[in-house]
Amino acid sequence: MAASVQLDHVTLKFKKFEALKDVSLTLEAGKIHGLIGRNGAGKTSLLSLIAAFREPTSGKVLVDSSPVFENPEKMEQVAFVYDKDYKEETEKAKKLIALASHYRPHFDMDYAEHLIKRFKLPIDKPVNKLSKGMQSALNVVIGLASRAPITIFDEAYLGMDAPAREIFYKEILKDQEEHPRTFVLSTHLVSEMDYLFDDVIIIDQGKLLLHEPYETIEAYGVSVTGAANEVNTFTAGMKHLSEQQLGGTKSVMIYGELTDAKRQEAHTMGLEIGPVALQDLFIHLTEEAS
Amino acid sequence: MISARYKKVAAAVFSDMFKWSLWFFSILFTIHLVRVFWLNGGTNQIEGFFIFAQYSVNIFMLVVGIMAAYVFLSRHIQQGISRRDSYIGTALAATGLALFATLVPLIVNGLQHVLAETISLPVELDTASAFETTGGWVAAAIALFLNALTFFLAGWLISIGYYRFGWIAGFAFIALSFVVFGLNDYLWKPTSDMVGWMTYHPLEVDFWLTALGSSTMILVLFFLMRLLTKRVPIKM
Repeated sequence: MAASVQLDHVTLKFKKFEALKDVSLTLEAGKIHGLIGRNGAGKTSLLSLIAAFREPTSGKVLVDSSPVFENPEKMEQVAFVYDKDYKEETEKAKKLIALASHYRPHFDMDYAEHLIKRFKLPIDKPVNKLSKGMQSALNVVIGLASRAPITIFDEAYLGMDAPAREIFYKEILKDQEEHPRTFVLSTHLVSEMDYLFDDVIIIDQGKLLLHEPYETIEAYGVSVTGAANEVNTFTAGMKHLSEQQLGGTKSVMIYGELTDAKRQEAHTMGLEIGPVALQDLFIHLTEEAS
Repeated sequence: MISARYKKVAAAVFSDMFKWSLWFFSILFTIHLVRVFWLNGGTNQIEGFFIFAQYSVNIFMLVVGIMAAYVFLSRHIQQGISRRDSYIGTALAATGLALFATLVPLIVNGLQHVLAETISLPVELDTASAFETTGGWVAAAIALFLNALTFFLAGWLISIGYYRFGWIAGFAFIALSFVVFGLNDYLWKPTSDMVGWMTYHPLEVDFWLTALGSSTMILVLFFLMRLLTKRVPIKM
């Protein structure tokens, strides 16, 4: 089960500070959306609107074409997992999991137990005594097992070690195959998570910079690798995102699409053309915007 | 389906509050036993559990109210429950808790009364003042229930004030709660006598007017809480 999200000219102000500026976008149902932005870009603000934690100052936030705020049927479809402050949470982890299963109509306890084992989550411990990584694992267990049609993970991996993050990513992909839903994953660990994304949204300073399918974005840039001289000649006049040189070999990432003729030229010059990492595009785009 | 959601909230919230109240009553009853058997001051009459518990029940309800916004509100919205369902569920649970917190002292007091008449206790227990005045125990139970609910609402008001408006404006809500306490005292304590107020009010017209006034205040407070939670942004 999956649902779509529409933001229609959404602005969110906190007193004089504009956290979101006239953002319009549609998140298609059943896809994994990567939401990328620098610290303070407005990621969490945007997600908290989808989860009906607050109302936009102006504009509309819709789930399957109906306003989500105070709409019980729509709110029930959204699970928002964020880096929650658990300092005061003295309940045991299993109590919070039980609460989610009490409230969430699609909650799957067998799946939750499978995830608890995968993350080696000590469910009999009070939540405030868990390590940061384990608190994040608890959030992830609740978010995944709730099977909400719209599941939002806002930097849900914080404090998790690399193996735990790997489990998290694999479980998302596996569950998406068996029980498709709409995922929104916000992150700045772009290089680690980019393979998960169907669609990519980049926001910066409260504005939508880009919203495209992952494959389209991949074509926005290319890496050119080969003999330093040849690379320099070939990429002259193009927009460099980054450069790396090792001995006589140089690799340059450029922004912009290559025409077929240019690709042919590179081939005859003995240069290798490859894709550019989303991470590099992200850095470039957000630097340019500011 | 629509109605199921606030019922889910009411069940879960009441279950939490019920657990807290078991702790509270266990401790209160232990203190009462100590008072009856060890700190009884010789031959003086000791009040029964109902009179003994009244003041503490009100404070307990106040504390539960103060916790309500912080413990339950964010939790509900994060679990996809609307503010409306969260409000109705919490209000129902609190009403249930006030009822439970009235019944426990009433039943314990009743047992004490039966016990005092059948076996001889080391002290003389005054279990009568709540039970033997004409219609007294009904009035006493209604009074305790309304007071307990009022104290919960005062606490809930303070907590939503802090939750929503921060700590400076939160003080205004504490001031508001003092107005509630003042009105409550005005209704239930026409004399300045702090301890014996209940016994001076046997079932009579005067009592029902007081109960009506108290119920009206409770309804106003419930309405105010709905206004304050209706569109409240959730803390993260």
